[in-house]
Amino acid sequence: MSPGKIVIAGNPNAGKTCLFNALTGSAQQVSNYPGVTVEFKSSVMRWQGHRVTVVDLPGTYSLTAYSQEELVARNYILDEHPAVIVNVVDASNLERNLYLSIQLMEIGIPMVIALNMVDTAERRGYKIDAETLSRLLGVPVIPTIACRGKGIDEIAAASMAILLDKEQARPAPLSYGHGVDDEVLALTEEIRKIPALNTHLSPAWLAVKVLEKDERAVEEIKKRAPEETAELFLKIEDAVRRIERHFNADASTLVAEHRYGIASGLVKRCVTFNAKARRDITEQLDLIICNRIIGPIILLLVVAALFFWVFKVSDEWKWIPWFGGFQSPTHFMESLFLSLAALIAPLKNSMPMLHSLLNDGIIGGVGGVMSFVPLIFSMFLFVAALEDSGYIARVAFILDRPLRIFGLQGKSILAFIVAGGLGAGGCAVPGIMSTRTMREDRDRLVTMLVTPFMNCGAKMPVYAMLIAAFFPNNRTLVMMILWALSWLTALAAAWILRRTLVRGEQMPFVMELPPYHMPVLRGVLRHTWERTWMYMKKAGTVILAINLVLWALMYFPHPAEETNPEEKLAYSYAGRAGKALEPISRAAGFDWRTNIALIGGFAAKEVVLGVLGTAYSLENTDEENYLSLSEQLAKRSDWNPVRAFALMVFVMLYAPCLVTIAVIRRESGSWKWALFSTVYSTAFAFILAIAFYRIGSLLI
Amino acid sequence: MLAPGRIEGAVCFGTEGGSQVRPSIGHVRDGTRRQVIKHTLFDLKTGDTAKILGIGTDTPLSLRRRLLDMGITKGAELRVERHAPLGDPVEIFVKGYFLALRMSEARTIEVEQIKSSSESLLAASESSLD
Repeated sequence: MSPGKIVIAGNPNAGKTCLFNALTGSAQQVSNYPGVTVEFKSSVMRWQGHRVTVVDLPGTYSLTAYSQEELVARNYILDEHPAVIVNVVDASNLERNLYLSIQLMEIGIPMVIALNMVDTAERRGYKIDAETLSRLLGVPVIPTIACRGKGIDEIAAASMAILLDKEQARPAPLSYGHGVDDEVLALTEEIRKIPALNTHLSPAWLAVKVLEKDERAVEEIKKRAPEETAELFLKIEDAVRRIERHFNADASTLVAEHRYGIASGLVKRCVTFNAKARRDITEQLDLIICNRIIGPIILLLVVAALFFWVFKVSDEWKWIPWFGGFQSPTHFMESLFLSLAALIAPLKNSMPMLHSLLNDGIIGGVGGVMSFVPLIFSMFLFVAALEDSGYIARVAFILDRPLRIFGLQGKSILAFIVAGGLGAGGCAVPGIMSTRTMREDRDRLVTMLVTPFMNCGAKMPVYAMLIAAFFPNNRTLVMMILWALSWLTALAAAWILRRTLVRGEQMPFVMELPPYHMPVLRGVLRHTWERTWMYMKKAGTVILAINLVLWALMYFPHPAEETNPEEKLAYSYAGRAGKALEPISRAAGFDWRTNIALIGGFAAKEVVLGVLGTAYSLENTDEENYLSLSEQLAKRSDWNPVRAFALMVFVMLYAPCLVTIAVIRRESGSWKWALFSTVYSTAFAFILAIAFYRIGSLLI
Repeated sequence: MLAPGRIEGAVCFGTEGGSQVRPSIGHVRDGTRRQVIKHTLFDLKTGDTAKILGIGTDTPLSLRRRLLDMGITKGAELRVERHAPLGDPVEIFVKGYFLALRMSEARTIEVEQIKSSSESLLAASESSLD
């Protein structure tokens, strides 16, 4: 029988994820996006023959249900009623962390405090008396350094001791000071009298929450006991009025201030502080990184470094051994799939249809996507290290004011960066999910609608192929232009949306600037690998399936008589659709083959490259040498740099992929915005592609 | 104690904020009468230290709760660390950590200045003279 659950709760950046991984020993990543873990993860902890579920809740500062994360964390604790809460507390920032601990204690569930990062605290001059803290709070307090595995066994042992013998470690009752306590006690009695409210929710907790005017608690009471509450609410109102008259202050403010009062009292009793001799590393770094002049320059340098790193490591430096020589990772992947293609070449004459299926449908499509794995891996690696270091919050700080001009906010930057805004290797799906850190509905909606314009990892292969074919000498420059263009479009679209469909006032921006810390290599690698693996899985499943469907659409109906390959393709279903659209798409320079690829790209942008590959390799079945798509396009007379650029612009901006649309639907709560996103971005993309194609053609 | 320019600013934004008048630390001559004025975080300069008096009573509940959760409580001390490149948001040091907020939110936080940056500079130069 399962003895109950352990949940891990704590402030963002307190080290919850480290503790979770250390306790469960699982390689399970908790967040796909920086700072937040809205979809909590669970895993199993094994301890002396017991198996216990451990759940990692999103990091929160409070349980007042301000943001989605707070709501998730709070509802999870209230609904699931775990047996133990492990509260991860950042020892170097004790007072604010204890504020959450106090709110967790109010719920009345047994608790263990992991006093985390005690080493950092000591370096900053704080010495914490864990024993006194434990005595005052009535719960075990265990010093830990979760990221280095210190104190983990003790946390497991303390949690299990509570789990197996339920009466231990009930948090000590809290005092909100004279005048408030009496009202809390009286209301607790009133609530206890109503049988419908005698659930696992502690009456004392409900009493404090209603005094705080907590909407959710009020709703909960009304829902559970609709008949008996009229009298109760009169009493609550009286109590609130009495408190407010007595203290001449708002009751919810008073309760919050008392919590902080308790926290600072605890800090005074348990912490000794040796005045530090010099500024710590975070302050020193911020003097430069957040400097009004140097800060933005550093930001640009970081972006430039990202481009440099990604292209050098993945595509230019030859460091992967291959048949006695060395190749770049990207070339290595290509070579791998070329060898596969060579392997099945004998099938061509005996079984032409099977060969076409394997060669064009599978190897061409999946191989094209897979050859960009090194690029995406190195991009994710850089971004994950930045996230881990604490720099992203500074980016939000520096960019909040300029972004506000466009109706966005500093935190929008998170979504943009995860979606590929720093360079060209993110994904709009986690990007859009990261907007959950924004409480502000309108800011959030606009951010979601423009995030897909960023250069995600799926568009990357298309750019890389076209750039290699038509801009071989200006790779970095063209990438920079595409990067700038994605931002310009996103900002312009946000500006327009904010003034038309999503009007309204902007919401507050209150954000912690967490201490810098050295990215933990293992964590960064794990994070990077999981994102890359997601991409590879997509290539192996969704993209493979779509490629096969598209291959069939391009292969059937197969003309009975022998014609040349181009006529065969034109005769197919896909060819017919592509040709039907050609009169319109010609405005932007796209022929029917490109149209087929772009139709496929509605499902996933990765498909564009695969289908282009299929469309052009189908025509070259007679050729002995397998030419890479890039080389083939460069040789064709109907392709030129202008056409390639217009195509890149269109691919950058047109309809988000199906997964992204599904996520927009889920996050915005309506199909309306998901469909709107598809239509408006396609329109935007087409207009801009036409503009670039027409103007470019005039210039050449 | 205070530079005249700052008091003017406080008057200007104090009236613009339109919220209730709190015990003040600055006074300015208004004809013959002394008028009470209010200071907010908005008026502080980089390096200034101040004690929090409270959050303006006309502040929306959600913002007030958020600020309280982040440690903006009566009696707490804060120090203005810096402003972002375009002068907004502002970064403060409060309760042992760094918090960024916009100037529009800073305006709701009523403070009593303890030490101005110029004062501490002055103190530093005085002590170096000793």
